[in-house]
Amino acid sequence: MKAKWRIVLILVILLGSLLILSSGTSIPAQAYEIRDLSWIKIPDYSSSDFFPIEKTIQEIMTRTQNEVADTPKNPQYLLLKWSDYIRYIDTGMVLPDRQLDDLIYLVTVDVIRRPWEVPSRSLGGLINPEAAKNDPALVEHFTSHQDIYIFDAKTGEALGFGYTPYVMILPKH
Amino acid sequence: MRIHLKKVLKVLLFILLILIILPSVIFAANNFNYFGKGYIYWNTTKHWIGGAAIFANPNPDYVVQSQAANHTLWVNTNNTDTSWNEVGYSKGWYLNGRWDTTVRTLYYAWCYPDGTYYEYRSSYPVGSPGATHSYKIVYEYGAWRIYIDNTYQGGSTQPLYAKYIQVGLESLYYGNSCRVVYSSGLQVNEDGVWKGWSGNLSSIYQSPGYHFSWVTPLYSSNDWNDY
Repeated sequence: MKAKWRIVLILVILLGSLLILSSGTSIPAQAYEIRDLSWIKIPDYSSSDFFPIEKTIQEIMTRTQNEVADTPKNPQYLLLKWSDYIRYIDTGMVLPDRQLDDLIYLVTVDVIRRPWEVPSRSLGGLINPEAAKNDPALVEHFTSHQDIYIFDAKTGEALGFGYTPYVMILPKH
Repeated sequence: MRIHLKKVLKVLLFILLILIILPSVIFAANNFNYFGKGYIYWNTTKHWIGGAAIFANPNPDYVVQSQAANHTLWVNTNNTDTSWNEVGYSKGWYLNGRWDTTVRTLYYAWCYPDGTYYEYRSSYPVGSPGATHSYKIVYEYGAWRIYIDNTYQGGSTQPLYAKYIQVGLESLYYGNSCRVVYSSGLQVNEDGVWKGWSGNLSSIYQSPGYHFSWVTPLYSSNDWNDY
């Protein structure tokens, strides 16, 4: 009987360890802001001539799942002009090196990325992801909740990407 | 029966140790950052409103891992190290939904004080390996504006001033062959006047195997990985 309990105990420890390891992190997700932009109406520019973005979104979801501990969810996409993009999305952007009337696909995926799960280039030159692990303030500052991608509507070329500490609900057509 | 039970327990404990230790080792190995870069900074506020550098495209070209930056000019904003604008060269970019390391491009980016990061592919021609570009980030007309070869790229509205100006490279992979990356013409814009880096506090990040040195003290530099 005693031996059986030992085995049960070991199995419980094993299963517990597996659960901890598979979760990828023991740090709870902090609260984040939701920016509901669904009240904004963007004209429907859809055309059969445009790049089919759905397959790209599927690739993004698959790759993201392999990169982070969290499960990516709620993919959204919107066809809009650069001028709308800097008016509603990257609102601090000064004019880009693109024509403001050019159409782009904006794709977002809700996913939690810790500082060590984003490309190091997005931490700037002075923040080391390893050091950030031990600094709760940096972990909080550089934990993002939504991935952003921008694609040329005609060619499908990736024109930009980003990570935001908030989650946007995109405007509607 | 009792001996058999001990063996089972030992095997289970061994598996447990492997499950705990191995992922930690792999995780640590994959996430260590390697730097080769230099920067200037101030401790007593200076009105730095821009930075500039000249880079030659890597020749031969090389790939840095995990979307790290091949070489970049960073100009921090808001008197902090957690917000900035940057511009540089990248061997790698998204192709559809995947990161493709065969794509060569110039890029510009910024991180706002709230931690929001945006990065954009420049439409400016990247040029061949060894081609030289000048990079500049300067606060003009109420915003930080980014230039490549004096051609406007984009910019962000962020608070003044720059506390750090950095040039260099970063990588998550120690073994890449980064033979030569040059940066020169390092300048800082103080109160509207461009000047060399000399006379300012300076420092160097360098992981083992990466080197960053000044060709002319505090004015120009080169960095490389000696492997």
